[in-house]
Amino acid sequence: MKDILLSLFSSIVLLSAIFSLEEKKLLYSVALFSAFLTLFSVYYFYLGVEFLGVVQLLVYAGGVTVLMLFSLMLAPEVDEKLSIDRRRGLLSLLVLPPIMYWATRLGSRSNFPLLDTKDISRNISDHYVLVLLISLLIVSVIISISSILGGEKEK
Amino acid sequence: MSTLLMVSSLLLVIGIYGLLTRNNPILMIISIELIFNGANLNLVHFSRLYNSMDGISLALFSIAIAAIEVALGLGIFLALYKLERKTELRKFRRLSDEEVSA
Amino acid sequence: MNLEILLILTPAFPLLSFPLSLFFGKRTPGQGAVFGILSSLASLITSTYLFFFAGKPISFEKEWIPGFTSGLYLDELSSVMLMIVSGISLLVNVYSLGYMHGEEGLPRYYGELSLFTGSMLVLVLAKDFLILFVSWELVGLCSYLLIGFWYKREEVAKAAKKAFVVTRFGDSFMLLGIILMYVSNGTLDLVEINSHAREMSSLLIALLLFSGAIGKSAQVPLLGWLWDAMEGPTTVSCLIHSATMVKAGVYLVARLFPYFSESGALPVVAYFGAFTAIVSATMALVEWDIKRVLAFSTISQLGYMFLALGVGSYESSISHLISHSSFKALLFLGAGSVIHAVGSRDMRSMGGLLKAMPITSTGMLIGVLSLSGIPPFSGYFSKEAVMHSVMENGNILLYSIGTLTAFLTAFYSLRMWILTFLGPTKKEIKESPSVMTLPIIVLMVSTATLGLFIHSGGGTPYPLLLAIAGLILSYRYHNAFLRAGPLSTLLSKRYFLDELYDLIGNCFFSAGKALDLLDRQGIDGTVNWISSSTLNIGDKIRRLQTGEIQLYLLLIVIGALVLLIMTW
Repeated sequence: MKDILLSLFSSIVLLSAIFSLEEKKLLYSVALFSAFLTLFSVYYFYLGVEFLGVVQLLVYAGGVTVLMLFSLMLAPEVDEKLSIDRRRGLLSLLVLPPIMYWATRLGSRSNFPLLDTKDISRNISDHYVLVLLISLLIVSVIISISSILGGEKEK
Repeated sequence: MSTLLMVSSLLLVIGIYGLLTRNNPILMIISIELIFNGANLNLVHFSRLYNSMDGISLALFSIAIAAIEVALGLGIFLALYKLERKTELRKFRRLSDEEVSA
Repeated sequence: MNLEILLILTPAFPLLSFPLSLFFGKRTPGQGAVFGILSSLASLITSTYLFFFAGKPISFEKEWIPGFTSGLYLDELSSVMLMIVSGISLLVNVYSLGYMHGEEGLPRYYGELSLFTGSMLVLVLAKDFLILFVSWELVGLCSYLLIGFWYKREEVAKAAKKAFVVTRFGDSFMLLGIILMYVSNGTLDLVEINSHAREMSSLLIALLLFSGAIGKSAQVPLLGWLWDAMEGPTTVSCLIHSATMVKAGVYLVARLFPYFSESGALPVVAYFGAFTAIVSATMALVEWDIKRVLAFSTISQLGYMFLALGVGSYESSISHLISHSSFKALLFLGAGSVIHAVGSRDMRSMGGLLKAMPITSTGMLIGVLSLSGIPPFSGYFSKEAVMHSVMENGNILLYSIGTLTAFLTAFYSLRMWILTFLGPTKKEIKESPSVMTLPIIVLMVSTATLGLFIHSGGGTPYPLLLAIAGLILSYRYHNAFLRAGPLSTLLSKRYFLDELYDLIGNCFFSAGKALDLLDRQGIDGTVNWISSSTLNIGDKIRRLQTGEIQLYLLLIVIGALVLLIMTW
């Protein structure tokens, strides 16, 4: 039973991924991508890794989608029109909340034990300090490069 | 075969398909993100199956890197767009030899 | 006075005069002639002093590179040569005042004359092969520069080039000989080589060195350049023939005489000399160019000198060299005077100049008689000495060649004089100015009196008798050889020697062309084919790089798939 439900849910996730690529209007594909990301976080909850699920929601569904929308706004020629089809918006308002609700139920019904966030952080500080430092370094380098390049352009 | 592994591999395939066929930078970034998500799911699932924390930690890093990468990619795209006022990736041929593109 | 300082000063004067007249010649009287005259006068004074007061051989040495000393050396032979070179140089410089008057580029001319004199002086004084070879090459260079003085005319430039290349051909063998000498004996010191001649002797090295002398002294087969060199100014020809250039070859063999006699190369020298003497003498029989007749006579007389060296008579060779210097300078300066007056070198446009040019014609007559070997002039004594030594050697062939050459010499030299000064007058001309006649008078006196100092060593009557016969025959039938049909053609074409040069040159040229073809088509072709095909393949492959990111991605995916399949 649970497997069947999981498969059903997975097919919805995959469909949203495919549609986000197949959609003609970019705005919709970004919206569908956002829905895909939101739904995808359910897997993390299902696997008992709540922290990752939250990060997924924050970083992906929050940050990345907003970035994309902003770039769409800044480069308007990417899409012909930024207008929204109201019927489709209404339809998605009607369809998405029940799916989300169902999905959260699914996420809480796993047989993976819940993982303590402290364990993740302990693992990282035990084994991945170097990776952490390097990634911090990379981020700082990227930021400085972009700031330097941006500064040059303004001249 | 586990459903979750199936999902992750299918996401990889969908992502590659999108990368190869779509001509729009934003759609290509979306495809890349699909691949990332598939990989993350794979990592986390195996790490739960074998009761290890490493996959989860890597997935965490991966999410962070993916976010940075999106930001960079979109930045580059916007800079290119500012320069040439084109959005179709096929028209950007600066990597090629000039003779061929001419 | 310290003799060593004089030793250095003697060549230093002309060598110093070279840059002086080159750079300051335009602002000085005579366009630089003053430097040339003063420097050669100074050299003449010092070398005369050295000749009379040196007494025993002196040398000046300095360590040049650690372990290698180099220096100057003076003995009797070189002191005589010093006097000849500087004396003739002085006369030529004075004579040039008149002969070259009004020419363009006189500072260059006088500078090169000085360099020529200076390098010949260094050559004569050289203590070791290194200095000798450097000055040897300098002499060659100066002869090239001076023969090509009127370089704007094409045949002049060609003649200069020919002189340079032909002598260089011999020099390359000589350099090989010097290298072999150093490799096998570890020394280049001429004095040391001579004193240890027995241990060091090697026929190969001696012959290689003799090849250099052949090129320099225009012996068979490298004699073609000398008559072409007549395109240069007559003064230069005079210097080349009587003092500097061609005497260098004789000097080299004379300087290394002990070495040559120990190594057994002397018979070769003798036969080369005798052969050259008669070959060039026959060429002169049908020549119309007054300077070329003199050039042939020079080659012939140099042949006599080598003949004398070859039969082992060092003294007679040197005495012939001295007397030849004197009368050949006289003849050339006289010929120059005639050419200056007539404006042509062709004897057919001369004739009947006897009354108009009394000094020149008398001088030329004395020169001709001396060249023919008629007493009491110097040529008689020296030639007599040479022939005497040949007869003592006992080689009938060499003796008869020498005698026959004496006959031919008398014949062609008187023919030249008759054609120039007797017969109908063709032009109204005047005697040359006194700066030109003065050197002629000086040389007349020296030619007439030098014989007193030469020990002829007893008589062999045949050369003198044949010479007198030659003179008489020449007076009656001076153009006899021109009517001789194929022989005259052979002689006037100079035994087709130039054609032979060309043939040999063309053989090498076509061989070179074949090699060039092989090089261009074969080796270069392969290399070019490799490079062009690499470029083509690169061009094909480059087209893969379209700049489309998605194509690259596709290739990455295909690569990943291939890897996946391989690791299945």
